[in-house]
Amino acid sequence: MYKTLPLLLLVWMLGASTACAGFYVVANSEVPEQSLDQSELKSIYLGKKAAWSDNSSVHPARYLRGDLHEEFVRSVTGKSPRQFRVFWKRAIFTGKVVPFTEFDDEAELVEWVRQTPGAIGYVRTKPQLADLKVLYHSPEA
Amino acid sequence: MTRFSIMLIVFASLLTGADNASAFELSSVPTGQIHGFISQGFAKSTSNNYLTHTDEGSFEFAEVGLNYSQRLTDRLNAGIQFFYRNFGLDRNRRIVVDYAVADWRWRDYLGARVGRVKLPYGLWNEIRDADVARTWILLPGSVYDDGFREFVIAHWGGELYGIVPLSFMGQLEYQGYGGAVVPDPKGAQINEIMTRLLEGSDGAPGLGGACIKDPTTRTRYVAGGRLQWHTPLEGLMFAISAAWGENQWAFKYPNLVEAPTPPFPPGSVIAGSTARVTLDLDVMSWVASVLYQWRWLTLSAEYARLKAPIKVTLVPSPGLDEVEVTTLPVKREGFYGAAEVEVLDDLVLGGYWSVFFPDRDNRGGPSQYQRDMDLTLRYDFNDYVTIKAEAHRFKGYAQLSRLDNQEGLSKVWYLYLARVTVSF
Repeated sequence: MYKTLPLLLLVWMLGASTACAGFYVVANSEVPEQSLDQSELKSIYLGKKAAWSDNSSVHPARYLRGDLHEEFVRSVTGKSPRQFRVFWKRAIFTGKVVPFTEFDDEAELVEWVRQTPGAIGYVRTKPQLADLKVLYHSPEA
Repeated sequence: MTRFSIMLIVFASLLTGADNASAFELSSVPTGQIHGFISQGFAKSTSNNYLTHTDEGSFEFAEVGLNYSQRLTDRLNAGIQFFYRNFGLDRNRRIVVDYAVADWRWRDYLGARVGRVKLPYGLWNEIRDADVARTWILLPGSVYDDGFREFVIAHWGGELYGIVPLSFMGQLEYQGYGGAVVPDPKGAQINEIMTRLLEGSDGAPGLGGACIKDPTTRTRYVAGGRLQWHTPLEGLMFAISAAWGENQWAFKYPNLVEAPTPPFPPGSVIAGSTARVTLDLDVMSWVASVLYQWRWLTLSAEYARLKAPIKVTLVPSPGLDEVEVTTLPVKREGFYGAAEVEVLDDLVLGGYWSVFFPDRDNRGGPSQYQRDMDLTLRYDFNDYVTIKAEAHRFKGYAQLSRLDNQEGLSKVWYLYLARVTVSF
């Protein structure tokens, strides 16, 4: 047992328990950006970037929980879902408005992003809709 | 508590139609949000009373907050939070406006907030009332002294803020503010400070006299800011915060003695008359911070200094001239180092070592320092319920209330806390 302990510890340290299936970041077709990098996405989902390049407002969507949410948060923000939740609780209780619209279902999120100017969200499967644009995809996607 | 409960229910019902959702949508974009928290704890110490009646063990360790925020336009938000806390030794329990802010964000690099705005100071000052937003039950007292809470929690005024990209150097986030802090003149902290002045503390002679009457506070101004450098190394951030301010406190007290000991001029105080004391504070404080977050590990450290000479003037009896009695030097210093480890997804183990000196030029004796070793366990049952357990080993009692420990103070003491918080 003591021989496998370092290996188990290493696995725990690297947080290798979560399998990554990949994701796509989609936005409303009126969003001026054609692509985003990971740091820009992180700024949006941590509330530090609230405007697109034409100064129109960013309206981010998120899921409350689930594998996709966990993978997205870890990959984009570098935080665990708990750290991400606590980060936004800090904002909530210090007078900042939480910018997210929250969804349980991917189809609902996609429909909302399609219809809302400035909207951005993330999905598991690459959408084939003309009025959505893909701004980013994870390396696994 | 009852009044607050009624207000909470009425407020929530008005806004949500008693909907239990944590945030509700008024249109396709979330424009109106209601959030809140209720936190109930228990505290027990081996000796000494700290914040509440910890010597006997106390459940008087509760905080409640309720806020509503509204997106008015794409660039303009408004929000208000009511707050109530019941710490057993805080004798002035009431519902207060924690913040009330109109927030206009013109660009990412420039926004403005006006109203009652949380004061940016160090890493954690803005969340010192929100238990759910941190690992610890008690923040490190060396930098976040509960005795000064009323003076640093928020200010009435304005703030400019923004975030500036620095290309390959990361990002610079700034906040600069100006306004006035309006502490409650009958609040526990003011009462404690003024009573120490009457009775004397830490070797300094007191003014003499007994109870204080008609306390007033006036802030001429408070100004300051915080710079946060988010470095190119993922998760590493440095910050520097500074604050300047001028305050004046005044109170009356009945003279009981004819000629108190120095610093009073002989014969300046007449027994049986009513004296008026004015305290002018010129405050300058700063704190340097570093925070590093890597996966399951968060490290933080802060170093703070506060300089606030207090000029004491006295009108010994009505009709007599004002006498400048003395200027009390206040030169505080504090620092801490902390670590938090996310052992499991929702289980965090944390600890810190915190050291405080009320007078950095005089560190002798247990009343001149307070060292605190902390160990905390936090578990998040779900998005809404958090429990914590915490143990402290203190050495020294520089931050303890003499009023609340009239039977004497122990040099080495332990404090155990447990807390449940429900937030939505």
